[in-house]
Amino acid sequence: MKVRLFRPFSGEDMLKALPKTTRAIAVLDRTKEPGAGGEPLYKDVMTAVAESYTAGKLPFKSFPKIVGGRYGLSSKEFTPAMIKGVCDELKKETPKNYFTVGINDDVTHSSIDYDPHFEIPSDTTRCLFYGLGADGTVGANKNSIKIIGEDTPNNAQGYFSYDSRKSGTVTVSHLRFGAKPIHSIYLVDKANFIACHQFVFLERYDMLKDAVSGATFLLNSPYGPDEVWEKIPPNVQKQILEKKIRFWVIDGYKVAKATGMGSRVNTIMQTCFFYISNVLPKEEAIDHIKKSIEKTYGAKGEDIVRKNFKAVDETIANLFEVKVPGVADSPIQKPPVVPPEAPEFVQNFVAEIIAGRGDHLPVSAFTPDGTFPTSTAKWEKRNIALEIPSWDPNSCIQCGKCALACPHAAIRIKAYDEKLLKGAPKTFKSMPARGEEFQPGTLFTIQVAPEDCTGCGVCVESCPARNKKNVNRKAVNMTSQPPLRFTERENFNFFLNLPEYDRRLLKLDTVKGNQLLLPLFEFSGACTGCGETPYVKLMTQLFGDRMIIANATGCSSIYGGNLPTTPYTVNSEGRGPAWCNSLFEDNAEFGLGFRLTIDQHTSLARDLVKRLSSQIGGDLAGALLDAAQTDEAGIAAQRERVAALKTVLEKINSPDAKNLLTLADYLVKKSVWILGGDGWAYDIGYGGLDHVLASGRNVNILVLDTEVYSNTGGQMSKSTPRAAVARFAAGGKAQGKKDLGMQAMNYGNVYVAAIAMGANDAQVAKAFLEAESYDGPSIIIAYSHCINHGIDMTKGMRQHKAAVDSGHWLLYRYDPRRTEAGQNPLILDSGAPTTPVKDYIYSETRYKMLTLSQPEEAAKLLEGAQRDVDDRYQLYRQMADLDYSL
Amino acid sequence: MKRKMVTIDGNEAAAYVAYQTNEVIAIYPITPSSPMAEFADAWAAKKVKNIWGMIPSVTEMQSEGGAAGAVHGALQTGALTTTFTASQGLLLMIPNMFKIAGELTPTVFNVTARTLATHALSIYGDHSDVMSVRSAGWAMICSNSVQEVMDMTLIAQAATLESRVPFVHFFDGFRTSHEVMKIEQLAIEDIRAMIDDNLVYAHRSRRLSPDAPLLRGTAQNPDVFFQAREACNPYYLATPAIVQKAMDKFASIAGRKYHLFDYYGAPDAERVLVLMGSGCETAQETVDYLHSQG
Repeated sequence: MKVRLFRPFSGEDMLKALPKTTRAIAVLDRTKEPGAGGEPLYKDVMTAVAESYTAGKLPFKSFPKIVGGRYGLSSKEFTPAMIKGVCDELKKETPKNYFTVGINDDVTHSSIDYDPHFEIPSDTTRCLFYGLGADGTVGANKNSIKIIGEDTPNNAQGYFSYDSRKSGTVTVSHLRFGAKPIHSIYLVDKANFIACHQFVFLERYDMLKDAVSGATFLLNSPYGPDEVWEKIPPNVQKQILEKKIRFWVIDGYKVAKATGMGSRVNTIMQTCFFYISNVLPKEEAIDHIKKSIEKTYGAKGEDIVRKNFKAVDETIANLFEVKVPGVADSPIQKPPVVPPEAPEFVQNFVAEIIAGRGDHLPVSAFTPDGTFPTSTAKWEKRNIALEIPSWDPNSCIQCGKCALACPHAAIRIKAYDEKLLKGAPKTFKSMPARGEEFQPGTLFTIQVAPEDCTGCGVCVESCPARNKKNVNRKAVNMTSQPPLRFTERENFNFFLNLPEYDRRLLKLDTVKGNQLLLPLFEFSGACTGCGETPYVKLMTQLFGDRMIIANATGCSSIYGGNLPTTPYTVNSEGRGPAWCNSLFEDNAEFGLGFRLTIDQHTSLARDLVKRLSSQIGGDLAGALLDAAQTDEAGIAAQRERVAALKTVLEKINSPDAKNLLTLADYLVKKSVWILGGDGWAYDIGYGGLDHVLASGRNVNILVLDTEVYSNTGGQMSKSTPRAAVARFAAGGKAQGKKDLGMQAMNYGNVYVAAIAMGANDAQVAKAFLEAESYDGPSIIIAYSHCINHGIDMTKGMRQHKAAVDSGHWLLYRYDPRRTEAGQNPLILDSGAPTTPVKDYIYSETRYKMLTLSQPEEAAKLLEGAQRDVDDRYQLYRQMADLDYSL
Repeated sequence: MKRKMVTIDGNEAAAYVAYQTNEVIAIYPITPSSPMAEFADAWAAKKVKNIWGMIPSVTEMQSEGGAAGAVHGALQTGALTTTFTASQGLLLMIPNMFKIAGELTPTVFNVTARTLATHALSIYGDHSDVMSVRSAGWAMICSNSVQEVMDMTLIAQAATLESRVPFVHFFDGFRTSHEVMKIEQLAIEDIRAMIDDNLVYAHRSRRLSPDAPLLRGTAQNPDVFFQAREACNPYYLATPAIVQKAMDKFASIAGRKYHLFDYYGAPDAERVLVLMGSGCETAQETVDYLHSQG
């Protein structure tokens, strides 16, 4: 029975709709209410039947058996097999109540059994497409199914399953079409056509397991029809043979490169699909693809459309059917999902999810409260880079800018004693470390993590050094990944095992100094070339071993805390950021809550030290209470004291000692960071942010300002500048950008900084160190380029400079401590604008597109945008020039 | 033990125990719950200490949503934390309440049950606010009189620490929150005896700390969310017995006996009323009278 009108619930009508012969009812709720004694629909149905019984109007022979169950939470698959399982359960004498279906609950045994092999025969055509998140596969397939639905008599269905991570993970498009209406509201598992848009997926996913006999398999392969066979894993070969699969290959990346599409293969693969599948006559199909390209990319400029057309035209000549040899003799060994040295939790849990077998994990595999260990991203070797940076020590000036700019902590620098080089792999590179802070005999290495790098090229773009013999080459240069993968993997492992340089000896306010610190945020699922993560990484390098992060929902919470792996990690002592996401709207308050507890527990710990001082020893107690902790050396010394304190406390048998033991770590200064984007800080969380700024409490706020709601797909926020086009501002934003920094400065006792890494990285480091050391609220507003800006993500850092040169983004630091010293608290770190705003904004599609769609409006808004910049600079200039000594 | 008799209202009764058994209190005013927050703030200003000899940190937030956020943050870092609210204020806390419960975090929110504003605002009492948070995964415990408010605040605090399921403790707005009654005040030793410090330390040990970092608030995909969601079941199944255990322990300390369901009346009754809240007191009085009349 289908419930249509849920409220007001008409029990009488429900009973009329049920057959008089009803003897057992299973009510399926797609929600869970812990502690409720049944989910809502179940209770309503039960109540209606009981009411009719009470009223003496029961329409059935006897009171039916009624049970409730849960299915499909969080889009869990709900298949014919599960439905049959529920029907079978109802046949039992006492069917299970409060059951679940679709999972294996081995803890409270709520789940009912079903036969997973049960299926309904069908002559609908079913297709699966494996793409890489953000590679355009999903978009192209949406267009394909629309073409099939609208331009053929077929019934059509498209569904797209994503990993919610930002990018670089698998997307699977499920298409069905055929003469009969489609009621299969579940994923395709018996496919006639399977396409793999990423060659590397073959070693990760067993995608042909879903192929029916005689299916077609299309592979985007760097290897041609004659050599591909021995490059694919044996299980793929075997299934091709056993299921008599027709096997096609195309070198999509070659076509993309040749036609100016970069690495976007989506329309190329789409063209192959239409060619092979014969849904439409070939010419007609190509005509439709081109129309959909115009529709999808038209607003972004003629050039993009033209390149796509060209790619489509050159596809067929590069598409080949493979003559399948008769034997599966592949020498390729499928690598383990995670390296064998990974810890047990990673082997048994994380690896299962990575391998796409998360559905089979039973309830007992999970913590009941959503707690997970950090430091797991390093085990997921995604291998998605086509090219990785290769270091040339002869050209390197050891500035650290490559490591600073890397969004994924995949290129790192280290300084170490030359003696440690013993036993290094043959291809491991090093050079003498330059700088007075290093002892003679110290070596310096820049090392790439070849299987974690996403190949964005930001490091190369940020490298200021040139090869003297060939000025086109720098100190890091992009090089094809496959030949380097295994040697560089070995080098990276050797590199990781080199000890970290002593933090106490580094100049943390220099890029070189802070880039020698271990990043405690690595290999996240952020977009290739992400503009936010370099700041997050730097923050963890500086303070990660004593920081707690409150993270607003958004991109930073998704790349920061998405299962199966987490990029936050620990140092060799096991210390690292503790991280939690509460909501989108409450993040400042959530982080303030951290600080309230820390202050409260620190104060209690100090009281207990005082109370126990005779037992602890007066000297140690005194030193613990008076510790300065103003620099790395002070913090390290206090950590040693706390370790000594714990040893003493373990020997004291008293409630106070036991209590203090649980709180002793609070005697070391903690750093609270409240992290989020502009959607949070400027809009939904502003009330809380403002309240926290006004609280006077020692918290640090980092606003990753992309000037748009990035995670939800690019909607306007109050940070979006005038003249920019965003979703919800399709005609260009008519209002200016809110000046969040100015509002924060209003309080007078808030540290405020505006930074842009690509414009002035030394100022970035200063701002972080000043904000953290300020004993009060601090806010850093960080210019973050974003894929939503419509820029070449390899060159994101250039946009920082263009934004600052134009005056759109001012760099400044407002430090209340300077007021106390009789100085102006505001230092304007950027000079007067040197370029017109249009030079900056029209280098980004988000602005440029308006000049195509509404040129007159664009011109008007440009004028306004220029005025915004001029006025704002004048205001800040005058504020920064005020004399505070009077 | 001879306990002090005090003549106070329901809000003071709840605030008294909540203050004694918490370390961080985030507040925001809303009628009729505001006096609980005002008491807490005033006692902190007077440097009144809780049962651990600590002055709780009392912080006013900018909304109930903000108060819930601060509570959630303070709980995540291991402090015993509470707040007070009612009506649409409670509704503003719902987004965080789902998370606090989903993370199995012990806390007690004291709620003066108040009408939700619909066709009109009303500051007076009914259960429409607390009934709106039924799906959040919180235990919900109801007090019917001023004495019960004091007792149940403590029972809830003891039960939440053991069960890890958070509690909404509610009582009727105005009728109970503002009714002045002469009641027996729990002594500090009573409160001390009900709270097991090992459970407090267990709560602390689950905190976010860079010295032993962990991560909560992940995003999960369809492959695992459902199974992970069912992993909390044993905690809910255990909660009723834990509450009864706390009630029994309370009875052994303070003498007043409570049960998950207290039936009152003739053991051979054929017609039964079921209700929650201050109306129970009246029903009891009426049943007594009717019974005496035969």
